Parts: sequence; structure tokens; C-alpha cells
Amino acid sequence: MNNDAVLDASTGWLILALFSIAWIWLGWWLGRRAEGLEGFMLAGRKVGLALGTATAMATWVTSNTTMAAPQLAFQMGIWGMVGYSLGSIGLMLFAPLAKRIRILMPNGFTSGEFIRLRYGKTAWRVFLGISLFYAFGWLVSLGMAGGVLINALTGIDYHVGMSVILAVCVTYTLLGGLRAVIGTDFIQALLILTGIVIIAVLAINNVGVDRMHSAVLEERPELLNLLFPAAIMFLFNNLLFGIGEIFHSNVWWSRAFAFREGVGFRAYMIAGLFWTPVPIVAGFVALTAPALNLNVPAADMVGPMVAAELLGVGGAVLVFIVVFSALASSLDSLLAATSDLVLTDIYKGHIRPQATEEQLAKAARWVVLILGIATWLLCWPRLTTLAELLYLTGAFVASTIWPVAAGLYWRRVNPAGATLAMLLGTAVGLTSYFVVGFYVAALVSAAISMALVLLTTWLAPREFEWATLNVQEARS
Amino acid sequence: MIISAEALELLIVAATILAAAAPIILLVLWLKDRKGGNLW
Repeated sequence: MNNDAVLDASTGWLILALFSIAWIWLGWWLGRRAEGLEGFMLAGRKVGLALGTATAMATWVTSNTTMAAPQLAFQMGIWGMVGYSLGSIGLMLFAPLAKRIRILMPNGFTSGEFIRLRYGKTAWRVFLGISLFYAFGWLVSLGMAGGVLINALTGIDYHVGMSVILAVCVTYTLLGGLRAVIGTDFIQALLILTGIVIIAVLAINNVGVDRMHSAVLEERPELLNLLFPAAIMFLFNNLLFGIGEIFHSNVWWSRAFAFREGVGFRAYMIAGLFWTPVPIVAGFVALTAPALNLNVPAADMVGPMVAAELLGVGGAVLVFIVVFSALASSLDSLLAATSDLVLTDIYKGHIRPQATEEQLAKAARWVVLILGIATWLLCWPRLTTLAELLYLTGAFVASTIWPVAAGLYWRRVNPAGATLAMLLGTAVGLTSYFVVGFYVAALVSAAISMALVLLTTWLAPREFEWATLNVQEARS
Repeated sequence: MIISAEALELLIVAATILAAAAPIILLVLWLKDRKGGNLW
């Protein structure tokens, strides 16, 4: 039990039960028309602009955004929340890539498939290592965050909360595939945005920016300092980490494949625009803590504490709904996209190359289930070192930015150079993580990777036929 | 270099207005897609 919880456990259980039933029913209802492998994995490749925009936005709003944004504002001030909001640049930069991906690979399934066809099998295996390590790091950190946040907000035991949120997401993803994921993301996006705006408006009306500014200036002036060094370093690292996460991850590629023709660019661009204010709106409420004379025992609880102070039990309920929606919208997307990667690139790519569409459609559901169970097992011991894995992945994912972007636009990229760029970028990024600090890992990794891609392509350019990417092999 | 109360207010209010507009625009897009048969 957690005695500092802002809600009592019975209210927590009621919300948890209501939303769990709603998501599972919606998943079943939305997925009942998903036919065949493409219907399950890619929602029939016909997702429109509204659902496309909402799913890109909701997936990128994780529990980290809604809970860590106030924490970062409380620890790093203005640059903490503004730096976090630069995560939207990754979404906007992916917009032209999504358009290009849809044109070059109208029948594509995964980001791994692109790397294999573009650079060959060695690069593919290196990329799969990076991508699966990142996906598991994110899955485990989300699963653990679910248990920790439910416990912090309601006092419900960590293992119970973590198990419930994982079981709910696995169930509706199993029932409806990507259609269920995207459909629930739309509603979750509306809930998240409405919830944070209500809390923000109340904070502005009840406390006022002038009072908030004076109280922070008196108690913690460094939070209003525009030249706060640690926060500025965080800003650049977060920017590159975000770009690396989005450019390589199958979460974003699977959406590029699933969107209707002509939707990808606009959906990612609008989603980026809508995402930009989220960390600021969710984060600035933390700056009202000094004006409200709140004694904050742990920085990660500042958001719920301010909401509870402003709105009473209603505020705490609102935060719980926002956090639960943010968790579910990211967990389901990650489960679906990672299972696509495992199915296409590991199962079909390495284990059963001759598998038919029917066999793959059946295996797709097993992969979601096995992935869910594996995540649950890894989350069970609540090892903080596992959650910290996600920080390490900055060095891994940033090394893929150049091989992915250059591979989509430049005909002459050297495949061996791209492979080396991912390997050396990761190795040097990791070294800098341990020797210098977390804030340089993504930066160094991206710089090394860029230098290698440019140098090897300049010294030994290789011709490539774009038509090679347009294959239908996954369905054969 | 401390941010002024006015600049902070501008940042917060602008972000809140954009975040408040987002669900409305999403619903408008949803209605438009639904009407055109382009939802899925």
C-alpha cells in the first residue's frame, strides 16, 4: 500500500475497471472487421487523416510526457518543459519520410524489411538488434511505469496495477490488431488533451501566472533562468533521442504503411504541431507548487499533487484518467508494432520463410500474446535497472537516424558504411554515456553515424534501384 | 537571465490555446473523414 496516494484504492479500482472494460470492448468492436494479415497488422492500409493524426499524437504522449513533464519543469524549470516539447520535432521530421515510405514501399510491413532490402542482411540483423532492444526497453519501462503510477495515484499494489494495464492492452490488441490500437488512440488522445487543458486552465485561474512567477522567483529562481546549463544540455539530447526513436522504430513505420495514400505527411505534421504544447501545458502546473505552498515529497508526484490541490478528488481522478490513457495509447502501439517486427523479420525472416498468409495471421496473435507475457515477466521483479535501460537506448537509436534517412533519399549510400555507422555510432555513443554522461550519448552516436555514412558514401558510392523496395513478399 | 512574468504567461497561454484547439480539430477531421467515407 502507498499512504501518500492522492486517490483511495476503491476509486482507483472503479476507474481502472470502467476504462479496462471500455478499451477491451472498443478493441473488439473496432477490430471485428479486420480481415487477413494486412487487416490485423496494418488496419487494411486505409487509415484516414483524423485517426492517423490522433494515433501519432497519442502514441508519442506516453506516461512519461504527462508525469515527467511536471517533474522536469519542477527540476529544470522553463527549459525542462520547453526541451521536452521539442520531442515534437521528431514527429514533424518524420512527416516527409512517411510520405516517401508509402511511395517506395506500398506493400511494406516493417522498418526491418526496409533495412534488409536497402542494405542487405548484415545491416538488417544489426538494425533488428537495435530496434528490438529499444522496443523491449520501452515496453518494460511502460509496463513498470503503469504499476508504479497506479500505485502512486491510488495505492493499488504495483504488481496488480502493472498486470491489469498489460492484460488490458494485450487483450484489445489481440482482439482487433492495429484497428483496435488506432481506434482507441483517437479516444485516448481526446481524453489526454481535454484533461491536461482543464488542469492548466484551473492552474492559471486559481493561481495566476504573476503569483506563480513571484513565488518561484523567491523560492527557486534557477527554474526561471533561461541559461540553466543542465537544462540546455537536456534539450539537445532529448531532441536527437526523439528523432532517433521515431526514425527507426516500427511503431512509426507501421503507421506510415497503414495510412491511406497522401495521409502520412499531413498526419505526422499535424500530430507534431498538436504534441508541441503538451509537455508545456502538462508541465507548467508544477511551477504553481511554491505559490500553493505544497510540500512535494518526490518530484515525480508534483503533477498529481497540484491537480489534487486545485480540483480535490476530481483533479486526482482526472490525472489518473489522463495517465491511464497515455499509458494505454503507447503500450498498445508498441505491442502491435513490435509484434509486427518479430513476426515479419524474426519468424518469417529467420524461422519460417515459407509461411503462408494464413499461418502468419495466426502467428501474429501468438506473437502479441508471447510479447505481452515476456513484458509482464520482465516487469514483475520491479528492477529499476530495467527501466533505466530506456536511457541507454539513446545511444542505440540515434545511430540509425542517418542510415534510415539517407537510405530513403540517397541512391548511392554505401550499405557497409550504413552497417558500420549503426555499430560504431552505438559503441561510441555508449562509451560517452558511461564516460561523460547521459546527455551526450545520443548526440555522439548521431554524429559518428553521420560521419561514417557520409564518408563511406563519398569514398565508395553504391548504386541502388528504388524499385527493389516495392515487393509483396510478406503476403506470398 | 530570468524569464519575465509576461513572457512566461505568453508561453503558457499560447500552449494552452493550441492544446485546447487540438481535440476540436481532431473531431472536425473525424467528421470530415466520416462524411467522405475515409475514416478507415
